[in-house]
Amino acid sequence: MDTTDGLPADTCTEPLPTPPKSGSAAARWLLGRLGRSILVIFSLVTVVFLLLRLAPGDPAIRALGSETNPEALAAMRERMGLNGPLLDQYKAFIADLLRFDLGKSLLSSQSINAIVAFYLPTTLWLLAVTFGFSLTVAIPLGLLLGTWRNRRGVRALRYLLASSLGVPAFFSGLVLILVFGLQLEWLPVGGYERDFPSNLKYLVLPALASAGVLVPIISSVVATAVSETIRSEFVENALTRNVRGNRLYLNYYLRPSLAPVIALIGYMIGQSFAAAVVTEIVFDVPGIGSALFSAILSRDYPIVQGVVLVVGAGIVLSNFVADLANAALDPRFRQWQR
Amino acid sequence: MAALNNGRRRRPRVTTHGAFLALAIPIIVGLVGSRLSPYGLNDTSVGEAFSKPSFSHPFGTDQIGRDVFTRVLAAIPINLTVALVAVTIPFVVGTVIGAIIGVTPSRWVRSTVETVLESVAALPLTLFALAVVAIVGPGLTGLIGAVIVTNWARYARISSAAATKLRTIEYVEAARLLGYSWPRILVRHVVPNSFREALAYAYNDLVVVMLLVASLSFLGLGVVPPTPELGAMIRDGRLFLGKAPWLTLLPGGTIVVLSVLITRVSIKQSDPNRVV
Repeated sequence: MDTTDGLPADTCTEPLPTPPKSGSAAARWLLGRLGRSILVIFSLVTVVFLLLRLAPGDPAIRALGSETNPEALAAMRERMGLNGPLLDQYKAFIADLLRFDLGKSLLSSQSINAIVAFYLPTTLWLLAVTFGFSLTVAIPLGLLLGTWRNRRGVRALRYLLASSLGVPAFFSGLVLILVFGLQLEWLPVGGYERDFPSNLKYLVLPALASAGVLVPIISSVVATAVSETIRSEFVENALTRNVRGNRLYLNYYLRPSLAPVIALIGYMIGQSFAAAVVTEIVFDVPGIGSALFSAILSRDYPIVQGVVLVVGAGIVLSNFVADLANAALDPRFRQWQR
Repeated sequence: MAALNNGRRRRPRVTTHGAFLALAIPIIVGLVGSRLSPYGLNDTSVGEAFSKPSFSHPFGTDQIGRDVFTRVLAAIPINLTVALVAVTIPFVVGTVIGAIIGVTPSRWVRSTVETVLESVAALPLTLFALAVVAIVGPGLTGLIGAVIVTNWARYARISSAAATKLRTIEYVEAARLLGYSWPRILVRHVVPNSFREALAYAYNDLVVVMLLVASLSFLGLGVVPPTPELGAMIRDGRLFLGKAPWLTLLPGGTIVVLSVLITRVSIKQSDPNRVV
């Protein structure tokens, strides 16, 4: 879905800065980044908190449905933490979060920490398979696109990749189910097993569906980086020394071009976390997205809150790690030197 | 796509005919086509349920015998209009706010507002939209609201970056020295010269938002049936994927065609030299 957000595409063309002057500037930059990440999580928490309380209608009535008596309503308000002034509710909400206590489900009284711990590994498996597949396809593809930019076949491929960004994952998922699940009967159409080798066959199709968005983005970044690397002097030098074949493509073209990819993976993991909600539902994979969806349908607000916060924190964390990786690997991204 | 045009650097240009091609033509075709069709949107005929695509029903019929082609035609303007509204409102609001921030003289105000903008823009759109719909309830109001709440900040960041460069430029200084009021300077001089980058982003955003709306409708959280909407149609058709695949494939293919059209325009809008 919103997979192109937050990519520092324009920073790629910045000129090389001068070498660092001191370590303290780097530390300040790091603290600033950390502070900003915390601020984003904090604003997500606040928005989710306010949303439940300021949306029109009484959330307790919405949670219970129409047939209610006053006692049940009062009990529900108590359980949802809706009593007392807004500021006190907010303090209690934040205090619980700081103890890593996400609260309890309204329907089953299960702790949400346990729910998240149960569903999260499945989603992480899905992300791992998705990225494993996307990278094995996208990196060689990007090398191809970047090296032979102007061949006709490569141009057609480029067009195809750009178009595949416009295919929603739920639709490509259904097409994959139709072809590989229903027609060819190679793979299961949905479901999941929690054990390691047998879970993979359930994850292949969801991973392919998500890769439809990831492969074009990753390969385009690789291609841009490779086409810049090719023009650099050390490549010209290598060519005059008659470096050819795999050594030229892997060591001279690809390797210096991979730094932006490593950072990109961080941003993409964050986006894929949110996109996984839809993919998991299409393929009936019991991950955190499916848990969120069933909580939305049953109006189990604490689960919605908990999952949104966990996934949001995951996104912010992976963006933060991506920024660190960027700074560590590619001097052009070291903003404290500007 | 040459980088050089008669030796001049090519600027991002407002290609109105491109926008017309990608948005206005599909909307008109959809509106006119669905009116001209011999079948009504909700005309059911149980005897004709699940008929394959044929001359009389180009896209086949669904489980209660409705003509899918008519419904797809009627859905195109709905999908595009919803996406247009959900992109235009944050685009206008964000661009104006960004222009104001960009020309604000106080550095303290600027850096504070920019921090706020950054944390709002960092809200993950899909997740936020799901959270809003969970609380407000399924429907377009919550969905469009969620898009507006997160996306205006992205436009504001883009246009404030462009407006900052204008702050010291001669014609803005001249306007100030001539004693024009600041709203006039803003509307006549700053906004017209700082919205192009935001517009290029808006074209990109149009695809993202259109797919988001279709996805949420597919989940049953966006446009509610019987309104013809492509995502919601796929949600219905999905139940008969093995028996009547055209109920899924043809509305889905329509989404793909629409977003490819818009993507083509958006690529022309932004960097003509980019690799993909």
